[in-house]
Amino acid sequence: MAKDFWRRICEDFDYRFFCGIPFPDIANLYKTMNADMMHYIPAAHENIAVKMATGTWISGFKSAVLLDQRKLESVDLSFNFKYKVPLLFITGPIKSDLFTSEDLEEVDSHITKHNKPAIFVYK
Amino acid sequence: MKRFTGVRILTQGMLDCDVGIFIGEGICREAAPYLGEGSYLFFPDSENYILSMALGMAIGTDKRVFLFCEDNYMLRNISELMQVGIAKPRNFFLILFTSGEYPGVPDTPNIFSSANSRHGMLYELGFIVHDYKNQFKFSKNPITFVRQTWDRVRGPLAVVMVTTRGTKEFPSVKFSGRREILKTRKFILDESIIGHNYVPPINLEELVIGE
Repeated sequence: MAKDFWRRICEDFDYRFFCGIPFPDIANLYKTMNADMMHYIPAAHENIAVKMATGTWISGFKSAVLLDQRKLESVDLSFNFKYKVPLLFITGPIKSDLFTSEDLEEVDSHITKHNKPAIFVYK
Repeated sequence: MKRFTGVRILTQGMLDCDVGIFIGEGICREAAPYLGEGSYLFFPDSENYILSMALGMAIGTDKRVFLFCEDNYMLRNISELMQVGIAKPRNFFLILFTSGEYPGVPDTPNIFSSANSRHGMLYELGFIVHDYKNQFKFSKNPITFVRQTWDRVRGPLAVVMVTTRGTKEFPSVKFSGRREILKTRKFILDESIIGHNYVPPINLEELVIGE
């Protein structure tokens, strides 16, 4: 299941760079990471992960942040909204003002269309 | 050395294929008149976590990424320095101007001025540390010296410049917006502009989906 998710997000949606902070809700995602198709950097804290992913987007790569949904409120997204830098969050179930969906395709198309951060809920 | 002199010399040490990020209004103003054809971003001092953004940019490109900032900015975002030092991007260059005081308020020392070893701290975080104080004193052409040095060195490099306040006035500069960011993105993706013989730590393009 988790392996399929990685294959899908890397192969079909072309996300190659991931960063974030591990948390128990998506522990199986961390266990099934494959260095052949993706690159992951553990961040010191949430805002660093967000900005690293932002920088990678400026370099022309799609990137995503794996983040605990409970810490999402403390993340500073002002830069991403101000400069319209898209960003994909992969979290557990959450209610948020950001666009949230369990459908990866829907989230990806929303990000591409609106150039805004959005949340993919991994279950 | 006055800060504007240091900014002038080190800015001209960059090549046309480099990406420059300047943080703080003072540094942006002083750098703007001397910039070449590379891609440059200007951010206010209040914009945090730009170091991490520069790290992300360095990971995704083979072009050199230069980040010019003051010691105050570095102190506020010191956890990012460790992130950069551990990631070891070979095309990341941090140019750090240390005046030892808060910007805009003369004679108010910050804690960086009391650090036992500024160079040692950066070295322990994982940077290669350069200080050109003596070279600039005796070199006839410091710009050539800087270019030649940066030609050979690999990052993550931290250049520590101990500077003093200057009184020279520089014209105001407009901070970067979305347009400039997209321009930088286009510049990075432009394959006709060849990066300066540096290999990024991870070549994201070459990651192949496993069978």
